Amino acid sequence: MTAVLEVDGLVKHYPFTGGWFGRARGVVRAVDGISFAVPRGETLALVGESGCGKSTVAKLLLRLIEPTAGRVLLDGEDLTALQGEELHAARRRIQMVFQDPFASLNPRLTAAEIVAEPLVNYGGADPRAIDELFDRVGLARHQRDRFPHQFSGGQRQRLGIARALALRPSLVVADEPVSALDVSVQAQILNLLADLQRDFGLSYLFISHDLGVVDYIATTVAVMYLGVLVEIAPRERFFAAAAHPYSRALLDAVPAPDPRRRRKRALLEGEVPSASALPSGCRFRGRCAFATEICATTAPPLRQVADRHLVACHHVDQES
Amino acid sequence: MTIVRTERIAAGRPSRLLAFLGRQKVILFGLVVLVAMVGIAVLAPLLLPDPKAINPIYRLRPPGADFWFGTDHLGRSILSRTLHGTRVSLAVGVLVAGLTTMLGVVIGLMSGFLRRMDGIAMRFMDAVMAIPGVLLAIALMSLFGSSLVNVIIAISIPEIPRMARLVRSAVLSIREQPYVDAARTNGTRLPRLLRRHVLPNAMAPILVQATYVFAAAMIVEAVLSFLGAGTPPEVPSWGNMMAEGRQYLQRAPWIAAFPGVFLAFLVLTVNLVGDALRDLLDPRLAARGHK
Repeated sequence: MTAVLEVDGLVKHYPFTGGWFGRARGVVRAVDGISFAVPRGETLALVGESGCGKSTVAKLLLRLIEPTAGRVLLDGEDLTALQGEELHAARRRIQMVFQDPFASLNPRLTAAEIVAEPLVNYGGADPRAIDELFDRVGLARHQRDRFPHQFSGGQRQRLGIARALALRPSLVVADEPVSALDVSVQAQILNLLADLQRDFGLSYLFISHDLGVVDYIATTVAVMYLGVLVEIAPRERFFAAAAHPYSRALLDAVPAPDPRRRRKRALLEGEVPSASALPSGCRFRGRCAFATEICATTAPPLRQVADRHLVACHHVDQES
Repeated sequence: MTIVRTERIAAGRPSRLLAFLGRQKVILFGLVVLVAMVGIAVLAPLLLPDPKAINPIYRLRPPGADFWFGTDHLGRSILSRTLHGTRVSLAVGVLVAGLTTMLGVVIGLMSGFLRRMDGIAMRFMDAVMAIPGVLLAIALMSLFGSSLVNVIIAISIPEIPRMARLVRSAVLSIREQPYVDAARTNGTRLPRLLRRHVLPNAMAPILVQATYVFAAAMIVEAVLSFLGAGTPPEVPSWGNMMAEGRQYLQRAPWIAAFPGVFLAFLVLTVNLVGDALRDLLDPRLAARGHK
């Protein structure tokens, strides 16, 4: 099992300034040293609440912003070290599907032009290739000359997927691709993503806050909290035996389909601390029911607790 | 459903554009007047006598059957001079609007996208903006001498910072749009990114500003000529005519009146077209302004 993508110690700090002369006042630790790998042909779901740094990770992987530290290996090649033509050449192997299916499509271009853009950037667009992409994502060929505002949300997201697919990338980063869509349309788009993965051997980094969606599409689940990963586990393992208190709270917050089923719920209290004024030790300790002294002094590293199951918590014991 | 309607217009359907013009009487009126003015400017030398022909026998004739607009102190036809003046004003308006837009777009795009350019370019623009436009133009004219080309340059320079700032602010908001991120991840290089994704989406405010520059340039040209710092005196521009007519304002008010009326009318028309264009391109402003 080879990894398409390996992320090693990725960091993004935003210094902010204040005062009259713009002295540095501190840093926002948006992404604070995360490492993970996406195996070829599989889907890693990156889960976490708003503002935890998920989208920053996506932008870092695509070099839309520059990392403060760390490496991003795509097919073994370090993207963060590339410049100019080398970066241009590497970019076609990692593509993105955006959250907002309206704002991510240029309103002045037609559907065909939008899908053709990546092809034009890498040598030229064959009209037949665009027809095939339309067929592949379930758009009608006669819709080629329509503008984005003439499509529904689901159709627009299909356009976004066709655009990401045009260059036959190794990895597609999908940043909340269905969260702006109606539930019925969400299912269609998820099915499309799953079909494409099977047919083209695509690998996905799937960013979401919806565990229902994650359960459907993920091979592996990685939970992010305030710029760090707190748990990584295979999907079945995660939904059966998530170990980190934060992961458990996320699972408990998923609404149950049966209202009569009473569950023991551990809902979180308190606010997420600011990423510019992090607590000492474990970032989650302020909201954690199990926090003890060691949590205030030492940040817990990701430790293996079972096969392919890593948790960053002092109070989770390794299974024998 | 204003939004849907106008976006279809933007999509470039000629029949829909005509239907829209039918509803927007103001823009239709403005366009008709503008086309008429351009027609006058083009045809004036063919239909009318030489505006510079001096005829002392007929000096200071009031408007009448022989001279529809009267004559000036040298017996020159005011009709011929006024209509020839249209050429000067339109040429100055169009060329200043064009020059300002071109340079403003280049400076605005660069400072919006290249962070290092931004501070330097914008502080320089601030400095230019701090000088009153007409004063700066007068200074430039006295420095470089009186000619139509110098008038156009002198009027353009004080207008460029406003256009550059407008383009910059539009670019700053567009560069944060996800479709710009998408274009970058699709491997779009900077020149194409600006040309195909950024500039087309910034066109609406640029076009509207260009029409205002058009109107303002014609006024400034008249002001400069009136003050004797504009087009050379032998050129029949409206500002020159009003300056000459000033001395005869009580005996022969028509000398200054006709170019004045034409200037006011043309500026008003261009401003109306600018307003209507703003409504057409930005439905949100239209909803607040009218209806």
